[in-house]
Amino acid sequence: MQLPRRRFLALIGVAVVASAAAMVVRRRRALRRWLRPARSAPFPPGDLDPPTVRTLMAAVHALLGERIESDHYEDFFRWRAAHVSGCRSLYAGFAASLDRAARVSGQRGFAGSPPALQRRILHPMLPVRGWARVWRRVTEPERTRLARLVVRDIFHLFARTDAWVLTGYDAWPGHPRGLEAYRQAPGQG
Amino acid sequence: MSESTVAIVGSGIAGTAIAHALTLRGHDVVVFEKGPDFPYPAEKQFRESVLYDHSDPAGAIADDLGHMTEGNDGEKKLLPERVMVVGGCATQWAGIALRMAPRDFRTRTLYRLDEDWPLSYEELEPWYGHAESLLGVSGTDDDNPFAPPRSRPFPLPPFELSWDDRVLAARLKSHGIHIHTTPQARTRLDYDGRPGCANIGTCYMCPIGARYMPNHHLRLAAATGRCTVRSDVSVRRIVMDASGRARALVIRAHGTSADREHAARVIVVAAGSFETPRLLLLSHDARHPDGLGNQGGHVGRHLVFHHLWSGHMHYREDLFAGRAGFWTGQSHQFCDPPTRARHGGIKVEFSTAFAPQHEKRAASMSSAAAALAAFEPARRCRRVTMHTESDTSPRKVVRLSEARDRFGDPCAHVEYRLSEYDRQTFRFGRELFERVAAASGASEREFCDIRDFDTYNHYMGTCRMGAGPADSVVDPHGRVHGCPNLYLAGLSIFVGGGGPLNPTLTAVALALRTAEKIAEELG
Ligand SMILES: Cc1cc2nc3c(=O)[nH]c(=O)nc-3n(C[C@H](O)[C@H](O)[C@H](O)COP(=O)(O)OP(=O)(O)OC[C@H]3O[C@@H](n4cnc5c(N)ncnc54)[C@H](O)[C@@H]3O)c2cc1C
Ligand code: SF4
Repeated sequence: MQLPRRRFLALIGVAVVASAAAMVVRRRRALRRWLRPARSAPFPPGDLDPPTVRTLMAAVHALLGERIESDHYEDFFRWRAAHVSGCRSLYAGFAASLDRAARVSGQRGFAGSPPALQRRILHPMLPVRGWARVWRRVTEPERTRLARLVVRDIFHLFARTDAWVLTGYDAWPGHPRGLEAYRQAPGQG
Repeated sequence: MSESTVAIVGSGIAGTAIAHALTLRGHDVVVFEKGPDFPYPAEKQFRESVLYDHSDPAGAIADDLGHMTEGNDGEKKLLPERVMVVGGCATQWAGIALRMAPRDFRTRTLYRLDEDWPLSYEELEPWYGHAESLLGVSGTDDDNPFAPPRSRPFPLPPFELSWDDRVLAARLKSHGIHIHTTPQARTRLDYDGRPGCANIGTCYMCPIGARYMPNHHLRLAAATGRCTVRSDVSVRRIVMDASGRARALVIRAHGTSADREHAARVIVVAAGSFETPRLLLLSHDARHPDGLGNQGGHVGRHLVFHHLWSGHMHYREDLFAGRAGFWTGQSHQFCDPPTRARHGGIKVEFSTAFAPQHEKRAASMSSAAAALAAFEPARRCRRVTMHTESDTSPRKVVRLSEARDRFGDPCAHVEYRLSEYDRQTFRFGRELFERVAAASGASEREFCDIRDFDTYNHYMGTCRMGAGPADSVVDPHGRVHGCPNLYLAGLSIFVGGGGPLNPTLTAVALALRTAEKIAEELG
């Protein structure tokens, strides 16, 4: 039996796509592991130095604006740097890369840079989805990927805390909120 | 060889209740716990997990020691849910503390479902009272016309309904659906050395001990000088003597290379519904070739979960759910529907719980504005859960696995397939969800898939109680048939699932009754 050339090529195409899809399904765990950004290698935990904290907090404000309460972000960075293996070097590396990028643009550091520049520097570290994520994983340097871990933590913390208050809740969970306010209409407790 | 009057395997809420009761009566008790110690109150864990998004690996059991294999229906895997630490699952429980209804003890007679319990609600009722006092349960029956009879009031006043509960309750009432408050092991006021709840709202890890944790009573028991908790120790076998009495436990302290024996006059196994049957099966000997208490072949069978199927209801107006961390509204109105022989009863949880998907979505955004837009619908969203009854079936079992732990002992294997009864219960739950959504004026709603259920570690029935070895593993006091000084405690001794209500208060009531029996026997 002879197949017309077009049909033959179409069949080959279908077979290639199907086997690629089957491979993805079969190896999805390994792929997912590969696509997930890795935590940096362990460095001894310890105190963050003041310039690093300043740059980290400037990044927090550049990402989230000025309406947030900042103390718990600083507390979060300091605690994790002091207790979680690898975090101190992650934060120091993140701050250093932001400062470097700011200097390339003629500034003395990230913290003192104009907001537009800060946003431009942070842009490649913002989360992306789908194929863009895969592409980044393949193409971009390790440094940027690690930086994105810090950005992700900042948004996580925002969602657990300030987002509550900024959307009208009296407080976020984690503080004693008493046994009265929750029984009243919001804003009256 | 070490020894004590009583040895308890497992420091969860059931083992702790017995340890505490017996030390108060002057007996010396050693509790063996496979998991690591768990500081109490859970301030450290609260700070780490809530404030700093970190879980200390030293606070969790080693993977191989907590391992089990499973062949289940459902999206949710059981293995990651395991809580094996000093205090057991109740270090993280929600604390809802409910009595079963009298009818739940007679499901065979009334609905042809599973078996009747070998004891009645009336026999257990005083022990429910003791259990409520022990755990410091806050509640009232005044607003709950479906509550079973009680001989003494709750030790603490209830947590009132939240504002959003009241808004919905008023609408539902006009459609004949009744919401009431939730009894819970959480201190509405200071109680027994525990501070009153401050509505911190991260109740799976209460930093002040307002939500009950067994560690509270382990500490009190230790203070008598008669109770020792040995953490990071696996109990590998129960050793029987020639007369059929339990003589000792074979234990292995993690990090050591040799087993030791610990002798005791009475042994209690309170190791949860997977590890308890596992230990009985592993302890087979010439006299008990199929494992201890397994003359009738019931060890590991009759496993029942509660299935928690949840959905979200969206409203046009703000409700601001999530302003209380504890549980507020629920309804027991559908626990005993007229069609109960065909499908399970359902407890409906309307609690003011925050719907966490909004937080999750917000966290994945790339600007504050987008994160707030993703978060904002939380204000108009309610999570509603159908907390359902289930039945036993030959395809719901715990047995020994091919996989082994570091000592070469087979792990537990759990097989759990939904039954036709479960499918019918799911349909009933989905209809009920629709009815609630319509009656409460929801503008949109979505309900989960049948395979997407939670269990909240409500695993019951794998060493059920009954009249004799032909139909069960233990007697109504939790004593293993044929082994006069070997007792079991916890949800494993339930007969089936015990209806649709949260099981742990019943397990504690039964444990206190067992402790009384042991004290009598010890003289
Ligand atoms: C998130 C969550 C929410 C919940 N909410 C509720 C609720 O609101 N209401 C309710 O009624 N129930 C609730 N539950 C269920 C409740 O927590 C459990 O039913 C209860 O705590 C079980 O207690 P237990 O003592 O029987 O067993 P466990 O708590 O499982 O304790 C058994 C202990 O034995 C140890 N062990 C096992 N094998 C060995 C061995 N061989 N050697 C030594 N030690 C061993 C284990 O490590 C474990 O610590 C919830 C559970 C969870 C996880
Ligand atoms: S709400 Fe109450 S029980 Fe829950 S964490 Fe806060 S204080 Fe503890």
